[in-house]
Amino acid sequence: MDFDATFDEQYPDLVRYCHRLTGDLDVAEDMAQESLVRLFGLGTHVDSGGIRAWLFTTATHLVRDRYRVDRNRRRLLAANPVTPEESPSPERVLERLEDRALARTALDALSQRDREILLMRYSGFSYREIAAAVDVSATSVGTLLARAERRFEQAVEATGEAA
Amino acid sequence: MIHLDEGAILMARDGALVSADAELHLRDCPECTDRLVLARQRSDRVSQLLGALDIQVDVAAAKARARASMDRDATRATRILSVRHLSRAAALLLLAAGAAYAVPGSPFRQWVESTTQSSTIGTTIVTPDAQEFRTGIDVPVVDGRIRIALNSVGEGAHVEVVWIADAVARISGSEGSTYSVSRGVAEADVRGSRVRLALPRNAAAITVEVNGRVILRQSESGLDVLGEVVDQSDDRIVFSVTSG
Repeated sequence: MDFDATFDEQYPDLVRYCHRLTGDLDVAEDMAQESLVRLFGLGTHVDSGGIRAWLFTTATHLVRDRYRVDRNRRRLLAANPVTPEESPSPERVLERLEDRALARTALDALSQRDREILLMRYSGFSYREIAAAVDVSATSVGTLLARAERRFEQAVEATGEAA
Repeated sequence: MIHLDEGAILMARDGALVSADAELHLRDCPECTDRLVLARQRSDRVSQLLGALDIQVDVAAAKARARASMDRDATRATRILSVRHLSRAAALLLLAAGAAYAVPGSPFRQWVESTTQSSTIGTTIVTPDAQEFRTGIDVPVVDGRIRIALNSVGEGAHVEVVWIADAVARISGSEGSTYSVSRGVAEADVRGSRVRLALPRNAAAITVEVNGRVILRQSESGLDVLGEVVDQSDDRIVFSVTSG
């Protein structure tokens, strides 16, 4: 297992996933880095095919531990508003900012498990991998994901209407 | 007709394994097919919104931080390992010492006993000049005065006094003797038949007692030799201890 190759391949998606999960870039980078350090630094044995799932599962657990108290997560989210990284046009910037705020608020409204299932699915994980990461049966992931998506959309709509 | 539940619709949408019956149903049921289309549209909307949260990632900087973190962990692990090894070595040494001490008459036991007994009150332990003087203690001169009291000295034992140019007196005795000293006053419980006192020639006042009796006193008025002398020269006096 090559450190550079694995890091280059896994870190960007991992930190984006953690960022979506937490809304805090610093925390996201810490969690992603810690997951990779655990993979390499502690001599963890992981089959090459399961590295990505292992990393995301580890990161999910790290984030869960860090934000065990939901109030802490909300406080951090409020203290770390998301900012744009690039903007091709003012209209696009505005649209993206609105989407970002909507997504952030909607994610924040979900339960921790719904948020993890939703974000893992949209990070490309299979139902079986999601089931292993969030400790549910593989057959129930579809139902849980459907509920998470529905709640997410409802939260987006509610936020849009409130704005 | 029993329609597919929401979970099965999503499994079909996301390419997860679905049963052959479910696939057949989806092919024949317009209602479930519509629900599948809606699920795909919702997936696109969710994906778009979540994509808005994406950020620029500095992989190189993160990699450097990770390497530094791993280096720190490795250093810490090495230190912990070293401490563990040292602790293990110390524990083994302690066990070995304990075993050696447990053997009656062992050289190690004799050494420990002589060392601990000679340091009742911690002062410099004098290296014996002769083999028979295996223990001893230094007695610093305080305000020009020294008082030495030798106790439990057996009858017929010899107390040898030698004059030295040093500023520190020394008591040397046989194995098993114990000593204490505090501000120019020294006491010794003596074992064996010989004790040697090295006394500073320049001290203003010296008193030597044996079993409660003064045998030697030096003051401004001169030297008083009060004990039973068996040998004497300019630099040396040997007293014999008597019961009277």
